[in-house]
Amino acid sequence: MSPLRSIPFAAALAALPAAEAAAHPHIFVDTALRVVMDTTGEISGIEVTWRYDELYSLLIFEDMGLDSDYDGKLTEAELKQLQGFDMQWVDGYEGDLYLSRGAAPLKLGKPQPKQTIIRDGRIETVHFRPLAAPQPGQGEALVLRAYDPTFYTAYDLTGGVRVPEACKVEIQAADLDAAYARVEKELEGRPQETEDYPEVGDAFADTVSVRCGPAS
Amino acid sequence: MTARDDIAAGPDGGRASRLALIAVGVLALSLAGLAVWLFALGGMARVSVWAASGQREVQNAMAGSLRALKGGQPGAMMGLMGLCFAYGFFHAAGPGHGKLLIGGYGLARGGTALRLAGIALLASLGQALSAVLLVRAGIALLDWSRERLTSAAETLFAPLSWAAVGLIGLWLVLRATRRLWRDARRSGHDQDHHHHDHAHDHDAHCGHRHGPTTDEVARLTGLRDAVVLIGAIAIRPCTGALFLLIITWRMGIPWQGVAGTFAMAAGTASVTVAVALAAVVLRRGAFDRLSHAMPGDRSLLRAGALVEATAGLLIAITAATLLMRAI
Repeated sequence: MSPLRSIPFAAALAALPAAEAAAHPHIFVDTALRVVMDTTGEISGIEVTWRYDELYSLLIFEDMGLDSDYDGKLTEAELKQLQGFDMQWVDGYEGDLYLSRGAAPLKLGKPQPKQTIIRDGRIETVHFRPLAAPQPGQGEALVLRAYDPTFYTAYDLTGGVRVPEACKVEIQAADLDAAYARVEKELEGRPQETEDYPEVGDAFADTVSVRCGPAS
Repeated sequence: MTARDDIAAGPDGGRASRLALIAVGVLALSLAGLAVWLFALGGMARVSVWAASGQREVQNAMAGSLRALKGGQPGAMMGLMGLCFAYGFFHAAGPGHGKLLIGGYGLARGGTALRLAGIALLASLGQALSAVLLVRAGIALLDWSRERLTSAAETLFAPLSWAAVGLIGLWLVLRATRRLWRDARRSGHDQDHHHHDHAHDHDAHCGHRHGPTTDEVARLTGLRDAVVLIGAIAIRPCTGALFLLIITWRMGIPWQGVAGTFAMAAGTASVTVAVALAAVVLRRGAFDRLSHAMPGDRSLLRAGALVEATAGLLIAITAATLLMRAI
């Protein structure tokens, strides 16, 4: 009868694009983070380990013509060929790692490749992201989040988070109910035709907080 | 019929209660629809997370199964088929894969459960076919790289599919509006005429003798709808299927990859068919209640048109949102 009848629809609809984005991962990456402190006691950057799922690893092997005997292991030469395969970042790609302190996002530099190995048929790569401006250890918590805003790749922190001795780490799992509540709230009062859907991809990522005491 | 007598006795009171009943009916349908949307949405976050972790397990196992197949291990083919089916199921349990369109269309237009389930199944199989064709054409004919192939699926075919889905939504709205308008115009001049009830045949009133019969029209519209629905969904190949097809092509076991892709489609269809059935059952339940409460085909016709317009609008808006984000 009246357009008001469509409110329940609209509410459900509001959550759709986020859910659409959030439900179609095609690549799964076990992620490990290590907070690196330099000799002066400042945090200089983050070391990131990405362990790709087996199917994606196989896809890369086949794509590059590696592992011709299909045993999930590479020869020395093949491994050399694979080095740096995930380090050619296009402009605008943020490396799926986001740091902030207080309200301010922290800028990260270009990735420095560390190593690429194969373990149990899965590609595992390590790279280092230097902070554009090294951060003092003490003070407000350093917040780290690893996610792909488009959720084409699903990162999770199964690899764990390592921090220097003087620091304490706290991992807060994504609160999915809160995330969906935020989607609804951000959409409230917006005209339906609005083009810019709120950026909510990060709401589905775990939050890592690192606090460091005085270096002992 | 007592309901008709009531209206004849007191046109104003009868009209008001009729409107109220229609409103209730539409609301009931809206809520039923909400249930389908939620299901189509993957039952919100929890199901999405569960589906993603299921997919992740399957994805890891699939690589081992492909190696076993290449190595000629007995039973590897069956293993791969099972994993592919599970992959399709988990992947489709999240949003996408035409559940919105199938569910929305089912609520809007009804039709037999068998027909809508058939559409859902064919759409899934069509999606598998388009993945196979894209990889065949891309690798064998055009010598595209993997990146180019998979990004074609995401940046070209996905927006195409959303555009098609959006147009179907608008088309539903248009069709419903036309029906409402025709009904309103007719009720303006045949109020005093006696007029027969066809409570179970919504479109068959005031027979026009010339031209095709309403049955023929319905059949034709049904076929056209089915083709358009299947096409809109099938146009977008699933990236997971592309991964599988590219890997198996390069491993020299292409036909096993094609078989696996169709097993994925069967897994996807197991979810979309369920959505199709749910939509048909919900719609029928709501309309049965409505027609019970209020015999007379005109009110049913209006309620039906309103539901169709609402569902069409939502399909259109959702598809447009996704399209905007993609462009």
